[in-house]
Amino acid sequence: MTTAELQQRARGPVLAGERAGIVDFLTTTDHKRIGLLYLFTGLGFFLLAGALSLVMRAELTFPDLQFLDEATYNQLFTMHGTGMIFFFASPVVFGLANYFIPLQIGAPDVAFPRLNALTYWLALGGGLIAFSGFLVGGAAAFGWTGYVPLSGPIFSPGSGSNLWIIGLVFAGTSGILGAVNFVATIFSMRAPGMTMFRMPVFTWNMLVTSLLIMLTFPVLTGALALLFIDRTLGGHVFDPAAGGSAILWQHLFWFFGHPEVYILILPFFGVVTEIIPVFSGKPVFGYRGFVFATMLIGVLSYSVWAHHMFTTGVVSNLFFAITSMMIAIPTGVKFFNWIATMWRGRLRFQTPMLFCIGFLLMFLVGGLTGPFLASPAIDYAVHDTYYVVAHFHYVLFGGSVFAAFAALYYWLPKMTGHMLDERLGVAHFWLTLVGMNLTFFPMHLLGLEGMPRRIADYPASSGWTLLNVIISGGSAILAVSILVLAWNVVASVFLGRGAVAPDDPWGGYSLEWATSSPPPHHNFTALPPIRSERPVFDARVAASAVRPEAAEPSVPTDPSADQETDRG
Amino acid sequence: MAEELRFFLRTAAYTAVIGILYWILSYEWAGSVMLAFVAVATGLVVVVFFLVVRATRGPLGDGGGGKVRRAGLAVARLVGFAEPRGAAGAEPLAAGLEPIPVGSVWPLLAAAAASMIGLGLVYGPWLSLPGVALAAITVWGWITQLDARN
Repeated sequence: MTTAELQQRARGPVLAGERAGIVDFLTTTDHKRIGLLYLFTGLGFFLLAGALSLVMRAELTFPDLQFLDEATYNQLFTMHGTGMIFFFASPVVFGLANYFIPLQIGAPDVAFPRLNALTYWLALGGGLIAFSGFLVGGAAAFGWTGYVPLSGPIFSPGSGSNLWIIGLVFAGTSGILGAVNFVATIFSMRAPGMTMFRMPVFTWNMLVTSLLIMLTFPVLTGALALLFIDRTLGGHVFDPAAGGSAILWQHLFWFFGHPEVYILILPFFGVVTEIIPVFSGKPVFGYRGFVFATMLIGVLSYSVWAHHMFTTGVVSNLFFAITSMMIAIPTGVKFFNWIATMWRGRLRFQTPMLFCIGFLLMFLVGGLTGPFLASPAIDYAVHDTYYVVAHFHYVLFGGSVFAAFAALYYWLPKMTGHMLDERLGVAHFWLTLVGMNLTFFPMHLLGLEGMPRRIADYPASSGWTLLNVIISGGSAILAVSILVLAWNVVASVFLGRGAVAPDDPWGGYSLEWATSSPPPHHNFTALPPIRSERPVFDARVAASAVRPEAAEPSVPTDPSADQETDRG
Repeated sequence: MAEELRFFLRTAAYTAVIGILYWILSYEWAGSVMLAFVAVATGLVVVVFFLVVRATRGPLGDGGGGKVRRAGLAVARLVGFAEPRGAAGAEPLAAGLEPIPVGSVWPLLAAAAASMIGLGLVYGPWLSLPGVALAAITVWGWITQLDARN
């Protein structure tokens, strides 16, 4: 494609397709547009839930209550957690999966395009319904875990809590339908030659994630239905006074809740595994090991739920400590493979790669505090303290959000036809890295000193003020970093100032780089032959008539992968 | 066995084993039932698809084969994966790929109907009853959309 053609295309609609009016987006069944809708909806909720956390940090900077009351504070942390998990991270996962699964397997669309549109509108509706509690006298205020009896009719009357339940049921239903769609797409719409063990790791991880969603979201949806019955129809399922069980809620919630954490991190493992090999100039080290490590994390996640319940005293702490620590093994395999992929590679430190390296370091901190929390003896001491808050923010911000930013810089050129600004990207990375560590690292220390989570106030005599000031300062830096990202996206994509993206700006390996940026309706005009897990690399080498080992330092691919026939 | 089936089989095998272990260690009902649910759900996928794969191997509709294969064919027809006997030999893609709709208003309306029904559970039937009506219209429009296009 010539430069003139590229410029002509860039002047056209920013998004894929011939027309991109509002009606087209309202009625679209194209997986790429739905992916964009998901992605920008998720980023919108990220700003909203992030703003709530900034209000909380402003209040917590100094002892005593300054401008919030406890009831409002409870609503803020509840909707911050709910928004980030259900309406930011999940939609971003679904957005990336929607856009790139069909592209990566060489399909024209997902298996059920209209169902796909329904999942998006349900997710959006769920988010709006859950957050609408703020408009009707108070949103839910019992934490994103909704523990009973706090979330029951006695302690949480008011429609805000009911709206939270309905919103989450929508999110859960949307997730289940989307997961079915992804599994059907991956199983039945792969291009000729695209065997299971030639699929990109992102697609593999989304397959495992989809199975987790299909098996655990129904449990959440059922539990929410029971809670709704308890709240509005006089049920007593979770009411011990009437023969119900409050612990049952915790079992049901965490049987969903812990796999949910993997639902939010496995796709981003996939993202990082797409980016690191490309920016290291090498194939991924141990492709099959990666895939099987993902599957192992997936199955293990079904048997770890009650490590959130050690302190209830009614679960088998031994069982859950062992199964939880076992998860460190496949995760360690992944870390080894990422490092081995970079080892002696030709590293290019562009923004996507910077965020991936940041991901490795930050997720490692979050990952290492995991086995500590999986030890009941330590968990009893730090349960419900800021240590736990630090742990899951290093996992979900240092892990998922860093990888989501990496995905934005890596894939937004493919989605929009515009490169993001590299200097702003690097600035965004450093601001995020510094702000994140200032925000979340001191929380470890606060937790060890015994500061409980979910409080709006702490005594001046506690000695926690300095660390809280540092944390609030860090969160302000994070807010600035988000503004840098937002300006980068607005200027580069929506104002069209970004350089025009070629088909393959990074020298990618998987099939999404074999089509135009943005791809046409139905994605491909021609597909390269698929004979390995790097078809675009193979085609590039063939086109330049250079032997693969001369093109770049390459390790041999798994010979058994070539013998795998498509038996699907 | 195809990798697609082994994928489900691994989950079924792990959750079956760990479910039994969990029950012996804790005698706790909720978790044991949920692990059994996962094992049965994924195991069922393996069993049904294994029978379908067996049933659709070889020419369809010849009426022969063992009991397992005939049972598999019956299950496959029941869930809609096998061609009926009369269609034996027909090229599955002879009529061309089913057209992918370029756009549809029904998913948006379905979500709107679901929102009305859901909000009606909170605020009252004055909201959910119109939602049910809209849902009925939406289901009709959804299932007849492709026919109308053809």
